[in-house]
Amino acid sequence: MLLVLSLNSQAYTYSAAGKEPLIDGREALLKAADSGDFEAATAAYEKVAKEILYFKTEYGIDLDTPMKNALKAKDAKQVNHVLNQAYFAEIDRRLKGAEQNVNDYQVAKVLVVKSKLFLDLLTPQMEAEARQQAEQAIQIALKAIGNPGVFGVGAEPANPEALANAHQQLIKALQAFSL
Amino acid sequence: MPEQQPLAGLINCFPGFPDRQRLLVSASIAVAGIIWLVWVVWLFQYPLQLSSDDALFFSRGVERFSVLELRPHFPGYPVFVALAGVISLGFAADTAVILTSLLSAVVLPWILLLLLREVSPESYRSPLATIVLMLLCALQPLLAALALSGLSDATGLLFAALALLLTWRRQFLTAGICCGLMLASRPSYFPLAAGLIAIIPLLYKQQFLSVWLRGASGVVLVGIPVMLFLLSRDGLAFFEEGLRFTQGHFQIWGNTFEGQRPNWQEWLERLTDVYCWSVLCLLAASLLWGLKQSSQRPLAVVITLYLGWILLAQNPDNMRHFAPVMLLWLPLLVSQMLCLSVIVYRLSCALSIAIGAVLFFSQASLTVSSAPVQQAVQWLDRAACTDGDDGRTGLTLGTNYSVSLLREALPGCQIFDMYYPSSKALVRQAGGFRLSGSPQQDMLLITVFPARFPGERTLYLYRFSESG
Repeated sequence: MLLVLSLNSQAYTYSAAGKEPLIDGREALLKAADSGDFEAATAAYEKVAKEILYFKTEYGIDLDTPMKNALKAKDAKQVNHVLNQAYFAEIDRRLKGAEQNVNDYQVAKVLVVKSKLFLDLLTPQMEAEARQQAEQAIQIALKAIGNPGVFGVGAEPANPEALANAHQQLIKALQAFSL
Repeated sequence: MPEQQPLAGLINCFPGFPDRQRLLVSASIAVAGIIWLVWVVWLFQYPLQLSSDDALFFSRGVERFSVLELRPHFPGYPVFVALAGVISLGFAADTAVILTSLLSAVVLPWILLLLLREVSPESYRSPLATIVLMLLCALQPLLAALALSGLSDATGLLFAALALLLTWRRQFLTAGICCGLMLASRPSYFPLAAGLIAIIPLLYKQQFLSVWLRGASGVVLVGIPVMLFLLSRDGLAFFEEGLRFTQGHFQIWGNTFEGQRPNWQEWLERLTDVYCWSVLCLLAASLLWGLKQSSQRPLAVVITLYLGWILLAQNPDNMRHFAPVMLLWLPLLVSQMLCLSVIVYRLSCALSIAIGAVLFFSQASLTVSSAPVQQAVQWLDRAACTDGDDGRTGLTLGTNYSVSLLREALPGCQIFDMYYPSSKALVRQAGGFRLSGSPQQDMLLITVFPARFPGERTLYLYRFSESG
């Protein structure tokens, strides 16, 4: 049925509606900040503040204060910078999750695939060399998950070491966005 | 009707044909072969380069298959990727996907010729029919676009035509296998499969249940290994991705059902741009006539069902969706012309070729050039080399077309995806370029990368100013 329902399209790499609030929220926030409407930007931020506060409560990473400061100072570039830092934290968090679940193919693969959604928003803002390192690292991470096979046929085991190395390489490439 | 081998059908005449008739038929096949050869040589003049993100994802799928990683996108098109994989034994993966679509497209006219002979046995007696059909195929810029696209349309259409041919030849299991291969190459051709199911009772009245069963067995013979392969690569996450993809297609990015006007109106406008009203009226009249004539009805039903589907649910921006209608219509049209009196038949042959030639030269030219996105890559690569004070600094580009392909081809450049509205601000801050598939009103046009065929999209390059 899914095969039947699927159609070709041009741009299918985006997250489905409502699945990634940080990506959906980013658009409203940056659009408002770029047009100088910081009241709307603050309202847009409040919709994703829960996601940003999550880093503080779970990992002790405070991005809420710098974001509020950037909005108060009406600094659109700083708003974008803090959002990029949030994406960096999100990528790091998901790749850690993938490492912890490396033996559960489905969980690990989805975590790496979704971290790439965030990475694709950061790479255009990176220097060429760092961008190429990051893209190479995420490809290694994807490959390191292996594949499940059917009843053992066609299975390729996961490579936790390669995944950990790719994670480190990616974090290094994303230094410009680190906290 | 006696069972025939696929190629034997082209040269075997009915028993009792006089020698002169036999000679004429052989000569017509030779002429068709020469036309075909010229057409193939012309197609092979074009660079075998990727021309879209979809083709890039197919080439990545050849290297490592995973639908979750968009290698290629859902549902994976495994038979197309497998065929490209075989070709990639001798060529690079990106060349292999282009060759797969190209080879599929160049075989297609011969299958359509065989189909014409099944649909209209009178065509055996008319050497002209063979030549006219081959010429009309070669004069389809849409087929050239499919051939050079590196996408699965031509392969899917080839299997669809084979399935139809084998259904007429009563080789139902093989027809089912071809139908399965079509679905596994291009699932959005499922209305063609529905058409095949619908015409079985028309062709084989009392036996239709057993025919369906044999055909379905063929589909299952392909479907089971294909599904096992997909599961072996992505596990049950394949279904999760399918849900995400389907939801995204209809709700976010697919452009389907989103226009202000009904889809069929958008299609009508698009088709009248590419073809003209007279061709569309001829198509409509031909289908109506075909639906009334019992001998032509099965093929007319298949085309009409598929036409209905694209008018309702396919994106009119992608003209290649129309290719099955146009190409399957050609044998129907020629078979209908064969029903006319000799003089009218000859006149209509000449007229159809003249219209085909006029349309060809209005939609395409014999000049060989790269696909629009590859023209853009060449231009941007040159610009990147000279854009900064320190030589090659890379440049900033925002695009909503072929984002991944441009990122891969221009690794030194910052390529922003304009699907995200926030990209506009970032590109503008950098004073970057904007590549668009449609003309923009409020920016300075730098250059245009023209489409080669109706199935392609002309790209427009603009530059943002710091203020604008």
